[in-house]
Amino acid sequence: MKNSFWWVGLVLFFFLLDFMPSHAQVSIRGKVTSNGRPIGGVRVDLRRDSTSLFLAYTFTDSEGQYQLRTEHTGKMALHLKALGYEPTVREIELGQADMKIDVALVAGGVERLQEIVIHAKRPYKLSRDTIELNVQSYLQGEERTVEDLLRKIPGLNVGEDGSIKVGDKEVEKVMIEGDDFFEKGYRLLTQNMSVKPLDKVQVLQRYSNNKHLKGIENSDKVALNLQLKEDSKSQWLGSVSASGTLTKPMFYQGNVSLMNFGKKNKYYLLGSANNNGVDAVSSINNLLYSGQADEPGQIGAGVNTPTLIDYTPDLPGFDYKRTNFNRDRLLSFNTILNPTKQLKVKWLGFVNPTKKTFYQNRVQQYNIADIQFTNTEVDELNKRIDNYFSKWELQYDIGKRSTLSYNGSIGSLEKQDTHNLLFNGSSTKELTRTKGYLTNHNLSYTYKLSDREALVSSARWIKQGSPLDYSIDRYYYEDLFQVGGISEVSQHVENNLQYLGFTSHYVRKQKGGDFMEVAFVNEYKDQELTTDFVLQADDKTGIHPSGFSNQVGLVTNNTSIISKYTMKRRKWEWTPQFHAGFVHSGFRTYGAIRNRNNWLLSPRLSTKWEIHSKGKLEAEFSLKQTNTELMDVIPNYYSTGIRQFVKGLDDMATLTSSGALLTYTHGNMLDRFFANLSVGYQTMFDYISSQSMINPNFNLAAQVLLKNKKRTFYKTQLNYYLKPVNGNFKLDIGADFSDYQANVVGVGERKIHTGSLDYGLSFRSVWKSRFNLHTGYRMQMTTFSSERKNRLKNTYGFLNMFVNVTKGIQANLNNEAYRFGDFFAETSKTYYFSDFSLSYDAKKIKTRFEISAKNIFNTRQFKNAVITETYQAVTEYRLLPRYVALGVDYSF
Amino acid sequence: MSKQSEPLGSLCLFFKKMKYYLLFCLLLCASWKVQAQKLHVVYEYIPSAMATFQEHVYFENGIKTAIRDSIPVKANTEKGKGSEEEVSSSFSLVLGSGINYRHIVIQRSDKNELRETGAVKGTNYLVTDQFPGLLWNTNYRDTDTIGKFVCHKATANYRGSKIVAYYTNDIPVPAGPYKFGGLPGLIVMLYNEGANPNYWTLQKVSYPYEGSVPLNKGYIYSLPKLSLQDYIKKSDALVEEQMRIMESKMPAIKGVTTERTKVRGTVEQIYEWEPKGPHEK
Repeated sequence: MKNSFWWVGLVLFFFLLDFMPSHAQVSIRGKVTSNGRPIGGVRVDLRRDSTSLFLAYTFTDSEGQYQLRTEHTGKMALHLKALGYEPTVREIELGQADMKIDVALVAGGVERLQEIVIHAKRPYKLSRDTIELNVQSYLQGEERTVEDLLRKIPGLNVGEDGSIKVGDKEVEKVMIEGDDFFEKGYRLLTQNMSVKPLDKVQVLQRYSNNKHLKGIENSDKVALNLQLKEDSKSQWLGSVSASGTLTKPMFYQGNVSLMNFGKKNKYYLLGSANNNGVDAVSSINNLLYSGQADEPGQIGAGVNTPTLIDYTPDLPGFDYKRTNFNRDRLLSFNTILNPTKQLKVKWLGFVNPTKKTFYQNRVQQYNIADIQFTNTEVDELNKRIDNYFSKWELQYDIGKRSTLSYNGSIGSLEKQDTHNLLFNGSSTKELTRTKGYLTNHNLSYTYKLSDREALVSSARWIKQGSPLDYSIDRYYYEDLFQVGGISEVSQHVENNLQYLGFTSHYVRKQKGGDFMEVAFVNEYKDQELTTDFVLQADDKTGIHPSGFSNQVGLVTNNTSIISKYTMKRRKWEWTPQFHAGFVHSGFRTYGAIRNRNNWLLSPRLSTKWEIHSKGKLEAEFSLKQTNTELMDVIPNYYSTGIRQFVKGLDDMATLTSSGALLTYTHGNMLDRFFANLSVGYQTMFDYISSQSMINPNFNLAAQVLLKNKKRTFYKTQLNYYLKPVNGNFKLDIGADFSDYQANVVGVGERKIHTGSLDYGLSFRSVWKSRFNLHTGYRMQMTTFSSERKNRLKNTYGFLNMFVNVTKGIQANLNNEAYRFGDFFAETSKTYYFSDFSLSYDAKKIKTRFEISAKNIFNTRQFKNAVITETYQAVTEYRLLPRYVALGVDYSF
Repeated sequence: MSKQSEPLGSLCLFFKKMKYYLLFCLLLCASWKVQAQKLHVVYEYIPSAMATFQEHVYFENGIKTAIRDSIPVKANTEKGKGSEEEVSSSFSLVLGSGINYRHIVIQRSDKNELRETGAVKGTNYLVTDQFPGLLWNTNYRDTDTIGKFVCHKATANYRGSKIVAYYTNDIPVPAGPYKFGGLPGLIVMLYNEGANPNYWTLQKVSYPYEGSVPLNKGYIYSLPKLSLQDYIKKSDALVEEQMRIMESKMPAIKGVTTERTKVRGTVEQIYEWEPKGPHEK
């Protein structure tokens, strides 16, 4: 019934529509001639006056006839124009009646147009680097977040992890109205921000983080800029997501983000909490340690205090989340203010209280000549991390060609590790506590000398303190110190760093497209390390065994010049690079100072050569000189864990190494056959090895300086797309060999040969069906040969299946199997894991639902094996149990 | 018709305008017949940041012939193309046929049907396109000076792309590059909106042009013939295969992420016979 009403209405509407306008239109027609002959191709247009827009236009046909229709009335001008004729205008008065106007043209006007070369200064030249997209053109009404929109834009690829790529290049940042909050952590924005307020998306190609280096720097970076609709600026937007289990064990994950972007002020708030193993802080980790080393004018990247004791479990190739019993919380507040056109202020702050627990059982076996024993550890590690961090940035444009920018950060980094340990059957509590601070300030000035050259000068100051308190409530070292009656062992560490660096970096782009860079760098670094190892006697007195405490200072002043030139030609490219530095070092131990002055020279040559259309050869040759760092020169032992003591060389040295790397690439990702082969060789003329004294209760490792360590490595990856099965087969083969020496007290000098071999075969389908799979198998063999040969074989297999059930509904099933070789006569065991997820994107209500099942086989333990030059070990980790969680995401 | 035109009072007015444009287009088709002298225009065609081609357009007696060179213009060293080539070399979506042909479009003013050449896997074809025509919206007050011409903006929806053109009233010829034309004046600049825009910019105009159109009609008409739909099917199959080959080599984490259908590097995103995509909304 309802339907029929609709139909009647619609028919009536179209009837009226047809009836009404047809009466309002009048036609003007006529014939255009010149000397009595009809002229075709004459433009006839109707305007209110000579300057206004065309109300209607047409061109005359071969008979000189034209016809125009218009609904306008009143005084009009009919313009006639053609190449080779004088333009003509007829004033007309349009009423209700059709008109017939014949016009005779006179030859003249534009008779010749010759070679009008447009010397553009392409008006949209910028557009080649900046592509502007109108958001409305891509919206289908079901997009929830910015990420959903970006997926729809041709040429942009959004990975499942949220990474955004233009072609194969990941974007540097995603800005809002030209302001950048999170640098490479842009997922925080794109995955949480609603698409509603967006007006335009700009793709900025050949992007430079420093705007004055645009077009000068050899950049292949890409960035995105989001522009907002006028009316949605300064409104609160955001998203909420929550997931959790309905039955015990309880697991949850929740995120809230709130944002407000005005023209002048922008705010972003984020809160996150979970206990399902996910590292909440990983999304903003890169903000803590930002500062790209490969950018002109960057200095002091990677300068921080050394870590003495680190108990973070290392599980290469295994999903760390499965072992992480955690409680992560993160609160972050960020703002960008633009008080004036020239000045920009940015402030970021976050708090990250986190607790993590790992359960590990380790069996460690030593078997070197007469040294034969096995250690067992049952370990519960509780980690508590409390980080408070704040970062700010001021940017001031002094003129069109120069900018002064300052950024600073301050953080309080607190960490406490508590080990409840059963070491060889005796229970121990091991405590490590750090309460450090970090402050980092950088002042940078960029001056663009011309369109082709710029100078970036920066100064950076870093101050960091990482004091550490370490204690064990049991005494294992009676054999070592020959002292009895000890109840507790402790070590207090003062670990301070002060850094001051200055650089001036000149960048030039040559006319032929070559690039040139020259940088002058001066770095001053003052490091202090005090370690105080104490044996607490039962009567509460402290014994400081000699040779186990340090009071060391290392001051270095490094002045260097770096020059680099890139020659680009059609088929090849050469980049010679030279780094020359003069270092003054002062090494203090208990008041005595040793000084050293030396040169460091590091030349490097890299080249690329396109042998033929499918083949590219790249080679790199380098000689590198570095000086020993603080931890390499420590004169006495310090503790790095329950049975580990380490000491350095007690002297400064220069380490020289040389290397060569040759890579051949055949084809590219679009070819059926795509291969990569590389071979490398490295000689370390000087290297740091160790002399170990091994005992079940302690291991003293003294660093020693030796000569000639050699390393050779090979890597091959072959891809072949097999058409009958519509999928790619990938074969990976890698090998790595090295020869060096190490010393064990009681055994003497050991010549060690290590080798590792990797084989992997995988298949990925690209079927047109709803179902697809990715499966593979990998085998890794590691050997250490000295007086005997130790071998370890680990294998890994996986089968991942994807089903697009219907639009918006996706299901994934990931299966993994791990197996490691026979060890300690234990039978080898295979561990199976399976995770399933099903998601439904109800885009109409801007909500996504997900049901996920983790660890379906409920595998509660996982064993991982390692071998080193001195021992073999098996570690068993406790894993998060099976659980099923329901989740919902909503954006507003 | 366009977001930037004056606000339309009612749906009624919308239909009225629609009519007007359709009518105007039909009239135009009939009008291109006579152009006393030959006009020769050279455009610079920039399909991507990696290459620039020259496109010659000849317009005479209602017939437009657009010939695009097969070899890119020598890299403009001033812009430092070296770096671009380096970036793109391993990922450019160039179909490796080995032989490059000129791309030719022959369009008659009194017919919708046009002919063009196109190559797939090294074989050149004569392709017949039932050209749907362009409904230009010229209702913009935007003007821009390009070279020495004051240009007016116009937009049109063409096969899934929004086309933005700048034309000059000073040269009253309804011609333009590739398959584009039908505006009150010569098109000076044209591009399609999208992450992979194709640009055409005017370089040279000669009128009257004394030379002949460099075209071997015998050769062109002896080429194997295909309808546009069949030709697109052939070339899409080739592109799709290459996209699959690429996708199959990428690491798969979860789900299939790339939408293969949207990767069409040309101005044409969706043809009349294909299901409507996001651009047609």
